[in-house]
Amino acid sequence: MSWRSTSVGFMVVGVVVALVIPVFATPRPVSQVNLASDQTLRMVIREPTSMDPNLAGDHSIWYVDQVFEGLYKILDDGNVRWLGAKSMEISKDGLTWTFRLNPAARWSDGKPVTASDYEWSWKRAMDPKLASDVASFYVAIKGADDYISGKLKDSSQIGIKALDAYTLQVTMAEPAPYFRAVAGLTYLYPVPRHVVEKYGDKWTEAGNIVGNGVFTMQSWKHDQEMVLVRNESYWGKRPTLQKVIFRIAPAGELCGADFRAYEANETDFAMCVPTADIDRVMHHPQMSKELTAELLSASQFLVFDTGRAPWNDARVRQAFNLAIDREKVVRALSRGLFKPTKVLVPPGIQGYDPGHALQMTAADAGRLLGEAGYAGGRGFPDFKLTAPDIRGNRTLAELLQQMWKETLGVTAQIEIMEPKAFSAWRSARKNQPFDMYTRGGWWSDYEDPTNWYNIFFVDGWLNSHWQHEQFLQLVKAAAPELNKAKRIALYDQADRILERESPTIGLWYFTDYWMRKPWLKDLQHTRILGFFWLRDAVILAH
Amino acid sequence: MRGYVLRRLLALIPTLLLIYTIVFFLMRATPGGPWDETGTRPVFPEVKANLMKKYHLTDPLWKQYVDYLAGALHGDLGPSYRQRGRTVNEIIADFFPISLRLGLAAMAVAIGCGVPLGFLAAVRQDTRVDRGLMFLAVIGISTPSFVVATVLIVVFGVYLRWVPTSGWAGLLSRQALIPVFALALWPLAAVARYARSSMLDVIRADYVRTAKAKGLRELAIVVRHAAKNALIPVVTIAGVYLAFVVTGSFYVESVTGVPGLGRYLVLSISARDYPVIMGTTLLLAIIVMVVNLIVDLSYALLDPRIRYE
Repeated sequence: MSWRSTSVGFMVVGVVVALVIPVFATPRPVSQVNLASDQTLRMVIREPTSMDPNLAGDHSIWYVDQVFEGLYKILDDGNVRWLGAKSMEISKDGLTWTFRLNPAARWSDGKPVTASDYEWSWKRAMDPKLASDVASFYVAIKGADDYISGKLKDSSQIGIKALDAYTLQVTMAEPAPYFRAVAGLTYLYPVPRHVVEKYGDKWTEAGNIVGNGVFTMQSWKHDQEMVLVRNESYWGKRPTLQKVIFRIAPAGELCGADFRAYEANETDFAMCVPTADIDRVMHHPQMSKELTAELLSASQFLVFDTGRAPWNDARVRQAFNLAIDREKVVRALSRGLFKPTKVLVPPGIQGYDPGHALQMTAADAGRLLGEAGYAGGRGFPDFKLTAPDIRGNRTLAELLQQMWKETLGVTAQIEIMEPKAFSAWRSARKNQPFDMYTRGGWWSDYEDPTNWYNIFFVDGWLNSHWQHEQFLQLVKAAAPELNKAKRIALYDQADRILERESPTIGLWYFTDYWMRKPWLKDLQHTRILGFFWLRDAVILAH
Repeated sequence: MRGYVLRRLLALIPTLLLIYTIVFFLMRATPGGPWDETGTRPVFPEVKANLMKKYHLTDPLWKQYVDYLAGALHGDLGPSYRQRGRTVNEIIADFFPISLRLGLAAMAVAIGCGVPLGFLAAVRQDTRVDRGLMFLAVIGISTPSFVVATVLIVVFGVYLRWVPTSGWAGLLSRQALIPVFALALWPLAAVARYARSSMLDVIRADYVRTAKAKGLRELAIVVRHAAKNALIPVVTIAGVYLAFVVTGSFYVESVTGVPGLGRYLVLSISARDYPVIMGTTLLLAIIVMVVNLIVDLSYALLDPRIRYE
């Protein structure tokens, strides 16, 4: 997903410390670090469309994540950090998942967080009457899809049961190892039933809202400001930060507003640098040290309609793939802050291996096209590259047009569409022909290969009309595979085929351009959707 | 007079109905719907179906047309699709007053500065003062407001740090300076130019020459005798700008971070948030029509020859 195509970053995953130590000070061990007396973090955000974890599916999840917590969180090291749960057991057949909850966990009004809170919340998220788009994350659970579509009315038939106050049992429709990566997501955070029932739609307003996270909401003036304060009754280690002030900027101008406020020292942390300012920041003596490009589990790519000529010939797709100079593209679009890639899936996704990329060069591109019967581009049919009008796509399309012209002798037409119109067009490609398109990229929602290979090609979400029997068999077999090593091997084999056949062409991995003042320390980035982990952040004396 | 106002107000009804109809069908004819992903994850068909049902988009078109209209007549402009849990009425109640206040303040600045400067240029016609002021006016008219706002933010916010770079803390705060000025500049320049040219017409009139011949001071002539007549074209143009400015400028509000209604309308269009588009469009239409009526009525105040029956 990519509702943040404007915000970007680099690849120093998890390595934060070196870059945020004040430039003029010598590094000191943490024990001797002077903390500022005012532990307030100021930053600019976009107005959340909802602070209800059962509804928040867009950028709102970043703020939901500060006020609520789920069963656990998986950070970039891949390890599980237990929060609402203490442990998880999966039955041998992979169908029954039992979560032992943390009895110390409390809602911010003091009531305990129980297994029935989870059960009620999860069923609420799937309720057709609530009509939440995060319901899609529950479909692995037995009965979920029928309940969502309204075929199943009785919610007690869904495979979610609170066995006792602190034991939650989840039954799957079929083995779904990917649920491990899903269960800790914001979409599965619990909501306080007693508060939701009391205030209805308005339960997320300041004054009403009750969470279970490390911060609580002190105020929320819509479209102006939201203030969070440390939850003093939090069960575990409380954050050092006492207060977080979110200044809310309008969506259209978020990046500019975020960066200008940072530059004027009104904020401590910015999540975006406008493309036009990157050069200046990179050559600025101080700001260049505050900028990091944080790697995201997200990539940009091209999709072919492999169901029709000339794109049904793998040699044509390979030729188009090899003719692209990714370094040049990335320089033009991000001043080199995105990370070029020749493969589709990002690091962290099983199956990822940069060695699977085509082992040929641009010089082979013309030869391949010639073998396909279009030597020097002669006789190649007219074709169109379609893309939504999201920042950078126009430049990308023009660069590709030029590269293909020079290397292959073919001329692409470019069609840039308004984003919603593009979505409608793209959905309609299910049964209709096209040549090739690129969208705003794809962001891993959870770090599992099903989020890429299976959604793209088995569910057919890309509409690439690619029906490679062996590939499909491999990924279909891999998805429910409980043996981890076997699962990795299957996806590895599938990825090899995917990259050789090139139904899609990977271009770059997105990064978040983060700017941190020298006094802001230990603010972690997660490559899944670019969460900011405020719990560990501290403000040094400055 | 009362009959005239009543007739004008009654004329609002068919106009609004026409606007409602056009907007209703244009929205639905635009490709892409509220739940077509824009770069986000796939929306599962069942989930989309639930959303369509929840917001009555599966009803036949005529029913949607009638139902929304019936709601709107009862003052219910519907729920927002994008901001879950918020209604269009709440959004308008929150954000329209801000746009209105900002717009009125900007117009006060525009008229308060534009009229005297225009008159000054007229009485000093073809001097350096005149040429200098009109040169500035051309710059003011031709510079888009978002450029003005951005430049002001960079200079006064980022470099000088006299004002915050964005945000809103009410009209009487430092945050309001940049949006008010950025919004005022264009109408200010336009008002100044109209004030100048209409004053030039008036000071050549016979009654002004008579006043001069009687030996009255120039200031007294301009303020007491010429100004009132010279204001009629200015009021017309100011009325047009007023309607523009109080309904909120998307650019100024976006760049300066003012939570106003103008910004909301544009965002709701790209999100295909039908009820918000409809609610705000209707509100803006009413404002434009009411302002026009006020402008027409003010002619009668300024010029006794104009009477409404």
